[in-house]
Amino acid sequence: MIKLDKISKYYPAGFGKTYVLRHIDLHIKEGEFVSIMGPSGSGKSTLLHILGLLEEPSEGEYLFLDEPVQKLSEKKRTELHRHHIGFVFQAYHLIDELTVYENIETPLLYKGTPSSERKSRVAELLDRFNMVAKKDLFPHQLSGGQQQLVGVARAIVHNPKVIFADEPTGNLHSEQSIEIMELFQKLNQEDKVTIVQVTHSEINAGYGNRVVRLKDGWLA
Amino acid sequence: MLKNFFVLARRHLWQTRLYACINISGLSVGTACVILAALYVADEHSFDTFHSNNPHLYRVTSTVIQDGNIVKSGGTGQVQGPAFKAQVPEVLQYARLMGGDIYGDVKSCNKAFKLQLLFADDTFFNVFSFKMLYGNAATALKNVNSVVITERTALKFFNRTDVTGQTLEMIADPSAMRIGKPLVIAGVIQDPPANSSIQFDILFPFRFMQVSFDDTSWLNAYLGTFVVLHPKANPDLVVRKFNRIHEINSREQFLAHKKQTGSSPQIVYGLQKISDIHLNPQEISGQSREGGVINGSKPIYSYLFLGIALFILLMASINFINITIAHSLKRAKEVGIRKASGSSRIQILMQLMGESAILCIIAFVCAIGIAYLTIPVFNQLAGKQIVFKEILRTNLLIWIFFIFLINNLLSGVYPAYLLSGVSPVQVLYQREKLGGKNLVGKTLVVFQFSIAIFLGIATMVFYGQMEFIKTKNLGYNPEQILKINIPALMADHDIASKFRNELHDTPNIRQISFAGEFGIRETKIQDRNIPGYYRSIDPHYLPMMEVKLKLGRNFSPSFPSDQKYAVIVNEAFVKAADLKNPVGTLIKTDSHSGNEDFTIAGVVNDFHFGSFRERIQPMVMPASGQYGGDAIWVKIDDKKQKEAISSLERTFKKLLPGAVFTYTFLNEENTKHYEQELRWQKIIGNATALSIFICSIGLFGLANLSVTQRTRETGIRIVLGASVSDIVILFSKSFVKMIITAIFIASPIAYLLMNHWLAGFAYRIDITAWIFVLSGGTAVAIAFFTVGLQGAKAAGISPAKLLRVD
Ligand SMILES: Nc1ncnc2c1ncn2[C@@H]1O[C@H](COP(=O)(O)OP(=O)(O)O)[C@@H](O)[C@H]1O
Ligand SMILES: [Mg+2]
Repeated sequence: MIKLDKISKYYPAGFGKTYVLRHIDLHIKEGEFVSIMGPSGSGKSTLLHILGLLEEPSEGEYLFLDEPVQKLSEKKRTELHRHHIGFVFQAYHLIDELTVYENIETPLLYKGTPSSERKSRVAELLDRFNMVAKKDLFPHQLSGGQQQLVGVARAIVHNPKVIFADEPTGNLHSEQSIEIMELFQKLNQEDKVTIVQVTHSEINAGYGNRVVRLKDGWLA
Repeated sequence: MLKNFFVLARRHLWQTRLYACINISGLSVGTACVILAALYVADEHSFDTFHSNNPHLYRVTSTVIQDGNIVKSGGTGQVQGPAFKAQVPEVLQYARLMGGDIYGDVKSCNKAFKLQLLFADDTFFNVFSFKMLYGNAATALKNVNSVVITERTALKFFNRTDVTGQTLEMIADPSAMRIGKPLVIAGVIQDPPANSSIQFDILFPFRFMQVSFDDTSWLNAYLGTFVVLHPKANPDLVVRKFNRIHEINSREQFLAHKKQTGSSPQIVYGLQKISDIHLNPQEISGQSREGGVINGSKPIYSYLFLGIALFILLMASINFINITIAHSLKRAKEVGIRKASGSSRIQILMQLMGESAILCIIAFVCAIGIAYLTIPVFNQLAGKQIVFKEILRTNLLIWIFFIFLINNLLSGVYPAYLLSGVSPVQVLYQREKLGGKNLVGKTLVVFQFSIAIFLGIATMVFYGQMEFIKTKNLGYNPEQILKINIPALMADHDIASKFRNELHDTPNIRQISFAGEFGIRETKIQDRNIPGYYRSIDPHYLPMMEVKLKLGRNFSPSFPSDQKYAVIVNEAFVKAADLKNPVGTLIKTDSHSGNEDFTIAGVVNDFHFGSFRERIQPMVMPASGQYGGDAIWVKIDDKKQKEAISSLERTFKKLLPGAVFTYTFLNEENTKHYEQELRWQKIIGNATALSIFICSIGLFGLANLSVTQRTRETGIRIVLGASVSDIVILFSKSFVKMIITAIFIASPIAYLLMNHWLAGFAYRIDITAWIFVLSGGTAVAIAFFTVGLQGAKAAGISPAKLLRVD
């Protein structure tokens, strides 16, 4: 499902360039649960952004669902986001102007899901995350952990094929972390959703079936 | 502290230079408009203020009350002036003026020109302050054949100005013929200033006119009588004396008038300061403007100019307020930190106000530059000759600066107040949105767009009506018809056939006819009086004009009695007279041609000979052979226009030696009815363009701000699957909503006002829905583009960049 071939990412710096990722070869099959680990600044987020089509690699080839990503049109890329990709951000990135309910609903709106189906789907997630009472609150009225939960709910609401999660439990206490990891595991095992997460925690990595380690942009 | 202020201000303005540019360009354009409008108003009020006899220089006005009708006019007859001077000691001087719309052909040095004539008493230079360049003002008008000319006239004839003692000749003028001597130039004066209501090329003694037209009636009102009162005189008392003198002197004439006509009008005199004439000309109604003053205006034009300019400035100020408020979110953090470090609210307020003052001063300087550069264009639009220096002469600049300052204060205070009031903790920790939903800002945008849409609708209605006037079937074909004026004394009824004989084998000339326009006269049918327009015509006139005959027949040489006894009338006349079988009906006209009794020989379809403001009036057309005429009407070939006109000129010079060849195209004459309308069409069109410009840059600024402020949100939405068009719609939606609100506010107001304007036309367009759709649609489209483009730009950036958190 995901195939990286000599992917590099660099930024211009002075007269040269700083590499953030170097010659990454990575193959992730459908149904895998992969954890990316590595020290801070090693390029984990950048790699995840590239995987999630949020950023373009500087070099190399990336096949997503057997399609070369570099050649995808803007429209096709939007389509992929709408139907196949769910993204959980390290910094939550909720929309301040929208309520919890509306934030979760947004991907369904873009996907064009009918209203009744939207309602039941969002209600189901609110229920599962124990957030029914908070559905009309705005993000700034929630704690960091609650915001992250909304971010996760929003990433899975449209039943994506693959979820990319950047430190999804970074701001949660262990009880909530376990809840999210169990949810990921369940999605992975029962619904065959592919999951790629960045994490610092070996425990979290333990929920997955493969670990990829990054160091200074190299695959270790 | 002050240094700190400037450093901060400079840095902040530089950081936000896009918004600074938007603010400066809008404010400077708006202020430039106010400067120009103020110049216009000042010029309007400067008329006739240069006379040194002000404020004791008045015009005698007369109000005629007859059968419940009150007609005010600036006109008097020949007798009032001398009688008032003789019997009222407060009247120090008087001068009667006749002219303004009187033209005559004057010849010298083998050159002949049509000049604007003014007849005035020899006290002219004591009463009015026109500067004599050569000659003696005290004696210049003493001899009946002495004249005073303007510099520009002197240059036209002699290429120099020192021409006293030179002679001129009047062509085909009854007085000149009786006097039998050439005119002697007794003085040359500086051209009357542009802001003088008294305009002329050549000044004649009043006696010169009296040679052929002496009149002792107290009932007449066709010229202007000006008086200089003693500085201590009480004008009310003087007027009372005038009325008493009138009563005593006119009694017999009024009795005779009543006996003859059965009507007994009452005349009440008044005094009007000469400096008030321009804005209240009280033109002598029903007659041509020969009372000595021309170029009259109305105060409404000043109000309109000033109103439009202030609205444009207001729109620019709204941009200013909105952009500042919208930007305050970014600024709020800075303000929060400053407050946390001990700055007082006043200090912050001063900083913010100071920054907007800097912007405004830059804008003000630019505005003066813009006004200076655009004044030629403005003069053309407004029909003025304003020189920019005017701005220094009066304390105009102080006034404008005052308006500007108030505007700056008003537009700077609100955002500064809002911003300086934030609580630091809220701003720094809770991402507070300033102004909440920003209702004030939204209202202002709606208001701004309402004005722009209103102006857009007004422009379209104006344009539509003028197009309608230009393209409507007039009932005749004015294309390629020109009118050559014939001096009255030379216009005998053979003139047309002489022209025809001379020109019969000139291929460029299609048709020639001799006709005259006589204004409104009364026609009697049995014992009813029907007022109508009189136009004398010959048999060639109707075919040339392509006017269709409805009943009866055209004049024809095979009916010789036509010359004396027949008239052709229009349908409106038949309707007004309520005739069942018009052809053959006997009518009576006034005794112009020595004959009063006519028979209707034909009826033509109504055609638009007047303006579209009034319904087609009854028209009576006797034969120009007997009735007389004043112009040759010629239809020429459209391809060889120049050749046709030059052969006409050659023939004219040959047949009418000495007369000045002047012609007008009928088409051009028709548009003269609408000079003011055409002018305001242009002015409002320009105002619309400016307001759209200001709205657009304002919108651009707001959209730009909202896109910058919502970059993170844009990024998130793209990741969640939003397409470019989703993002464009996201940003445009709220703006488009505001504009649609504006459409609903502006449309009914524009509908009512423009309908009111159209009501002044008897023949007019209806305001149709598409005008609203078109102007509203344009506004929405403009908004969609200015806003949407920025949304699209944001949507095109890679989401990782939009989301990068620091
Ligand atoms: N736009 C950029 N320009 C230059 N360097 C960048 C840019 N974005 C990220 N980096 C650098 O790339 C490196 C990897 O960043 P990131 O992928 O966020 O690391 P991680 O998520 O592993 O902590 C960091 O050293 C960061 O400073
Ligand atoms: Mg990271």
